[in-house]
Amino acid sequence: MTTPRLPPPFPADCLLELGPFRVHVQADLPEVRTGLGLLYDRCCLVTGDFADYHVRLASPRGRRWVRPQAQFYFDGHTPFKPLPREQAYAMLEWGLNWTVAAHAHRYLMLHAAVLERHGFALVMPAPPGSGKSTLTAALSYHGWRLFSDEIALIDRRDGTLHPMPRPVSLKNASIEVIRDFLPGCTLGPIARDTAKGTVCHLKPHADSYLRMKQTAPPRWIAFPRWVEGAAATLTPVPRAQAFMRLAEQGFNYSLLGASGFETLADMTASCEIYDFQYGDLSEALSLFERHFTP
Amino acid sequence: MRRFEDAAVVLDEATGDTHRMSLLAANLLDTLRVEPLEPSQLAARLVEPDFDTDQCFALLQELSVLGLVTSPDDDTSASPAISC
Repeated sequence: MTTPRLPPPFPADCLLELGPFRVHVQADLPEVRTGLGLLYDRCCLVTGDFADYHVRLASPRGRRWVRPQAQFYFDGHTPFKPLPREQAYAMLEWGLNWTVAAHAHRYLMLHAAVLERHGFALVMPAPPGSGKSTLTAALSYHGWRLFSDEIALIDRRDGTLHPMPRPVSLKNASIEVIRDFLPGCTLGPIARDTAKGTVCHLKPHADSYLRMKQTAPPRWIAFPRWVEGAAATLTPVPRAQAFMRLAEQGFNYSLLGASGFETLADMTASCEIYDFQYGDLSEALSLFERHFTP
Repeated sequence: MRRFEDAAVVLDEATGDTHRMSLLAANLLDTLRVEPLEPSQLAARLVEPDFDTDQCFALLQELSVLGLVTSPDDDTSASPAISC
């Protein structure tokens, strides 16, 4: 019997290319380096002098041995309280989400998953608990290219979506659902007892990383909602109503004023918009395959 | 303001708030931008034959959200001048 060989860990000090951003990551903790090596493609490792953001994951002073903790640093500052060491890798991912959402204001940013197919983007805005990440994970291994599981980056100049492929955050029951649905997929370290319950990250399909510079115009918007036992159904959403729901999911919509308003209105006007309810992943994928075709 | 098939959305640039309003109210808002009216003038305009009482009430409520008129429920003596 052979044990699958794990990819080598990332260096403790590395520069990651994540779509339009370059992030300087200092990973002092070995499990974080292992997680990066497991969940990111090596094409993300780049060289250069410039980084948009500088982050670090390390043990806070005095908490290396007794009830060890992990601390996220951004430009040397600590925007969050430390977490138990077992949650170190998840903390890096959460910290990266915050870093982009709090600073990348040249984009209109929505809390939404984004996937691409046939050259067009599907935007799926949803609050936590809606089944967005589970659906995104499944789609990203069935013909859809992952742009992001968390943040839709909308270019305010032309309305295109920019990919920022990073591991998909799975929570609680969805971890086993995806493990069963995508046998052979790569899952990262499991973080238990987090504020969100048990959390584990899924490595995106290699194609998502390799094509991280290929943007796409928005074509479809779907508000997903998982309901146990429900049939997969798409229900059209009136545009003005959709606009208000999209604005609610904005990270920086209010901050951008008229520019954010116009960008969102343009996207709303140009897309087919649906409420999407599902109870079974296979059925959901089948419906997407039939319906979301240009 | 941006119009869609079902309704319009309006950015209140003074507050940064976004509102959804009926296309009827959006048309009225456009009129007010060209021709600012005092509340009494607006009320007179709204009771023209094209609008029934319910429509007048609904329109005033929608415009009141934007702070352009005082809500019909409120004391009209405190109404601010309408300006867009």
